[in-house]
Amino acid sequence: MNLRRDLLAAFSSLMALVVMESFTGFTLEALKAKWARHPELLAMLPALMDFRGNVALAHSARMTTAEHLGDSRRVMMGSAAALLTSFFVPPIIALVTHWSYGGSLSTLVAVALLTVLSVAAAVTPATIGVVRIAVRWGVDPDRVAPAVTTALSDVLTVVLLFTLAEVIFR
Amino acid sequence: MRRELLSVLASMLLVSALLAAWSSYVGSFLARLEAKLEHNPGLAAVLPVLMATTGAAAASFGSKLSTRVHLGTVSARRLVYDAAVQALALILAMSAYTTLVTTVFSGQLSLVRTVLESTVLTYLLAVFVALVSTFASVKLGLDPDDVVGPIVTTAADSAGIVITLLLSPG
Repeated sequence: MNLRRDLLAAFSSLMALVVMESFTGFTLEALKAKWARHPELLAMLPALMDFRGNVALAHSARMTTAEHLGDSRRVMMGSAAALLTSFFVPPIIALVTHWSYGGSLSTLVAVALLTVLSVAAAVTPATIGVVRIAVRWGVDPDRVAPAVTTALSDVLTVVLLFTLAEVIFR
Repeated sequence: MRRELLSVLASMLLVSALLAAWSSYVGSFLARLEAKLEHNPGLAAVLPVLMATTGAAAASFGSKLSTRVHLGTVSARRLVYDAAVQALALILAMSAYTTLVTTVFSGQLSLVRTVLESTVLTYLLAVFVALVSTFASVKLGLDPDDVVGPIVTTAADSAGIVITLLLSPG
């Protein structure tokens, strides 16, 4: 047990995460006026971020395994499953939010679906790109892809949720 | 190919839907206490980072624990050491970030104290969840590597939201 070495390793990885997630935090603070008008969107936010983060993690894990194995079918399968999951879960999030907090169910379903599909449209190819670039540069994609794709998912979810909602409410 | 896609989709869907439903329920708590987020400058910028880093620190502890379970090298001394290293790194990272946020958004210095108290309480709870879920999954014949990560990060997200908002003034 080497306390100094272990502490430095843990602190460095947490600080890298802080830097990436700070984009989400600063964006959320900047959009205060928008979520204060529609708190039902704020109620959906943790679930949308968790869901997109979980899908991005599972997708990047499959992509990195596929790259290691050189299996292009696995790449297609992982991407297709990630996209398909994005159609089924947002209505569940909207339904539970409507039941536990309130808000118009049809609006919540529309906003959740559009947000998740827009984020998936950006993050799914980005995940494949990050994994391929990491491999090309000789970096282990397992060390890079999960953190980059979940941080990208989080910040895009916050921005797109409130932007798309504004368009729909208008 | 179709059967393989359905199997990947089913495993992604089941976990995602259950966790999304739970996060939506916790999100309604966030929306009910939205006024606290609105009236404490910087709190909205801190919350996503607190959730992500505390979840990552506890998940890292859980991952180390499950490796030790696989290797048969679990001991109370090692468990306390692993948990303490992550806790120390987490406190340092969150102190630095919250101080920056307080300066940028002209927040009150009491925000640092609230965030640190919330971070420590959330982390302790998430570590407890990691311990219980690791030993329970072994007892149930499941691989802790597959189970502990998502459970711990979801627990840290939920506890992070609830504890931070309860401790915040307003």
